[in-house]
Amino acid sequence: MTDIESPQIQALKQRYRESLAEKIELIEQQINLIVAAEADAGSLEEAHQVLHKLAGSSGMYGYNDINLLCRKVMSGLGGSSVDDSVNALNQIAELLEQYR
Amino acid sequence: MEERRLQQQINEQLFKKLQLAYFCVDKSMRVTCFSKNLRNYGYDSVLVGAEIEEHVDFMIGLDAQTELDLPMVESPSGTPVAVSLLPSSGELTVLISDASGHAEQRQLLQQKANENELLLEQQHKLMGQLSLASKELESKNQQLEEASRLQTSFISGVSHEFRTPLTSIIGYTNLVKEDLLLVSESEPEVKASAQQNSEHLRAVQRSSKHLLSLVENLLDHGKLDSNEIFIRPKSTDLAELFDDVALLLKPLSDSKNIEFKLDIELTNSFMAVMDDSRLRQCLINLVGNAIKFTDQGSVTLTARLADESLTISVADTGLGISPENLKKIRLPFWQAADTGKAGTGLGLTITERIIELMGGDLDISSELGKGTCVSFEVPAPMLLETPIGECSTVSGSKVLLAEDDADIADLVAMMMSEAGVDVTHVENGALAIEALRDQPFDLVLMDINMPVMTGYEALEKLQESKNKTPVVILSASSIEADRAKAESLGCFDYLVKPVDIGDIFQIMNRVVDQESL
Amino acid sequence: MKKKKICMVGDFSVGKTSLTQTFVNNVFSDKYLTTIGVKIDTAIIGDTKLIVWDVAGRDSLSPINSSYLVGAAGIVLVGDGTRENTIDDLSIIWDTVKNRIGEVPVVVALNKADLYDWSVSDQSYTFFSEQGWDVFSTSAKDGRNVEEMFQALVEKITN
Ligand SMILES: Nc1nc2c(ncn2[C@@H]2O[C@H](COP(=O)(O)OP(=O)(O)O)[C@@H](O)[C@H]2O)c(=O)[nH]1
Ligand SMILES: [Mg+2]
Repeated sequence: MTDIESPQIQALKQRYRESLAEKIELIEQQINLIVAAEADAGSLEEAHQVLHKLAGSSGMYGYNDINLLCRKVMSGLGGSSVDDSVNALNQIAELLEQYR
Repeated sequence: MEERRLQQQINEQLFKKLQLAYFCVDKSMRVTCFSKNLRNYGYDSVLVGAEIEEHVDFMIGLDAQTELDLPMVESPSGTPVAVSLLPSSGELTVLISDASGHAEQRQLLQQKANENELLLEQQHKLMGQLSLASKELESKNQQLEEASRLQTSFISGVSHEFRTPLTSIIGYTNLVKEDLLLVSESEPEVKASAQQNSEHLRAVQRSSKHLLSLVENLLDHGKLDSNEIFIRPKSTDLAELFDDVALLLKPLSDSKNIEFKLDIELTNSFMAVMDDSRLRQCLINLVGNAIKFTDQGSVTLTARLADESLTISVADTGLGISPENLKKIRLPFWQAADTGKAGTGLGLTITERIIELMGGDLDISSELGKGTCVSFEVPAPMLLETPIGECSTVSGSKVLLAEDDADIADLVAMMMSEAGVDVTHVENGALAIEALRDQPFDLVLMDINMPVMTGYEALEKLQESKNKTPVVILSASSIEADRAKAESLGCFDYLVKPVDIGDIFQIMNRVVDQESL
Repeated sequence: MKKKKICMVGDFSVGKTSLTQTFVNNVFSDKYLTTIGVKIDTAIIGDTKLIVWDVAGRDSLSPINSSYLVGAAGIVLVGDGTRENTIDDLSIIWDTVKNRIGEVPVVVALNKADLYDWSVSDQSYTFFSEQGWDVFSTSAKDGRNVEEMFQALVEKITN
């Protein structure tokens, strides 16, 4: 049934694609926040929320690669060091970059 | 004098005939006369003129005036005798006769009577002790019940604690594996090492899954008592399910060098409406058991799907079960002591209960040394694939969508309304509760992670207010513990994002099916 | 040497025969064999020759057979410490004895003291001490208090 998409659905997908740029900014904000707060529990929790949301919606819109990466990064958040968390988030930002 | 001698002779003759012995004593208890046959009874030292007390024990303490019958006295010869003391004019005549015939009979009768009475007494005493013991047992029983209740809640508690980290181990292993696949595609030179890593990961995953199934058995045992195990049928690909079970258990049978045979016939359609995870749990338990108790030969899993009914049997060539153990085997925690196999002893109890809940009966037949066959038959209704969109049940139904992410909400709402569903969208749990108070809905689609009020809280509120509207959770979390939490709060189903809109429609069909029952 | 007749009386199977055999022959048997009528044994205590009449249990209760008691200088009332009814019966048996031969010296043997389920009530002990009787917890099996009990009776008789 997903073969033939209605113009409305296509419009939604278009809208989502365009919103990806915004989402990169959000991720970058998170990176800055984590660095600033030295990866304290609060900043990590917030990053987690953002990723959680992104994982859900990106999957729904067919961006399986983003979905997968988000889930992976979520599991690595707060893992060992600030750098690890930042690196992980940078990976997503890079991935999103190609959809800009 | 002459007369007296004559008299004595006559007496002697008479007494002989009657087998009587006798002696006479005077006032001072000295012997005046006696019969010769007195010796036959062992009184052989009696002499005329002697003091009787010195020679005949039973005369001690008696005087010449005593008139007495001693019906049965053991004489020195061992023969029981009857003794009569007959005083006359200052003298005492003592008659002694054989009483052995009589004694034997009485001995038998008396012995019987006494033994009977002793038995009765003992019975009486035992009854008293029994009633005491039963009272004691009763209070013990109460203590045990209490202990068992504590044990159950302890087990549930501990299992929960175990389950969460375990599921995340499995989940993360999955993610790493997916990651490895990506790597191996992009960089051919690391392919080999990546492949080996993923082998290792698979091993980790298998062990974790096995551990998880043990923990789930424990957890289910707690639920058994409180009737908390539910069967949630959904469309199930049986072919895939059997493949899964085989994949999971093959390494186990390989490691024991026994053959694991699959004999599956599913006819044309293999999509059935069943609780796939419960069925999987049963199969893993049964096949796992069979492998555990088989040291050589094979384990065969047979499945037949026909007439909307699934027949499964698991046969092994293992140790077998003795008839008396066959009675105990279904008890929780029971383990054959002599086999030395480890486990929780819960698998079979839980499996039996689940099969019961699915509408079947677990049948176990076994022969010691030959092997065991466990089988059951459960209803397996075929899935009727209705083309979505034309589906009359979906079109026209009212759905409440609680989702804070606008991207997702808009997409889901759009797709559903294109299928003719009347969708109302709210942004959090609190608003969903409000909407449900205002008007009826056929179904609620609910996110977990929402501001103001989460999906969990909303589910709780709905349970409290006895609102029966089916709630389907749309969650980004594939972690089993989250699913379990939602299920314990009474959700109708749990879908992991990205959600396939077709799954939602299928669930809606099921809701309608259940309501029309 | 003085000769004294004493009678062992009490319900059946309390251990009259066993006590006598332990005392006289120093033997004990687990087998129960009902005594019929009376068995007479002798033993020497000090300068007294004791003639022990082991009276059949059942019979000693009936007045007809109380003839065995005639001539007795003392009585051993035997009860089974694990069977309460045999101890309760002792007062009835004593009445029979008194009716036949009058008040003679008495000792009480509460036998089978080697067993666990001892069930002698406080009332029984009170009753015995009211009668002024010496009470011995005896065991024909391990021999405890058997000699002491007979000794005590002989002393009562000779004083
Ligand atoms: N354990 C134990 N058993 C005894 C004792 N005295 C007697 N018995 C047993 O009790 C049963 C009856 O004993 P017996 O002397 O025949 O009793 P009687 O009927 O009073 O003569 C026999 O089986 C004896 O072995 C005792 O002191 N201890
Ligand atoms: Mg006897």
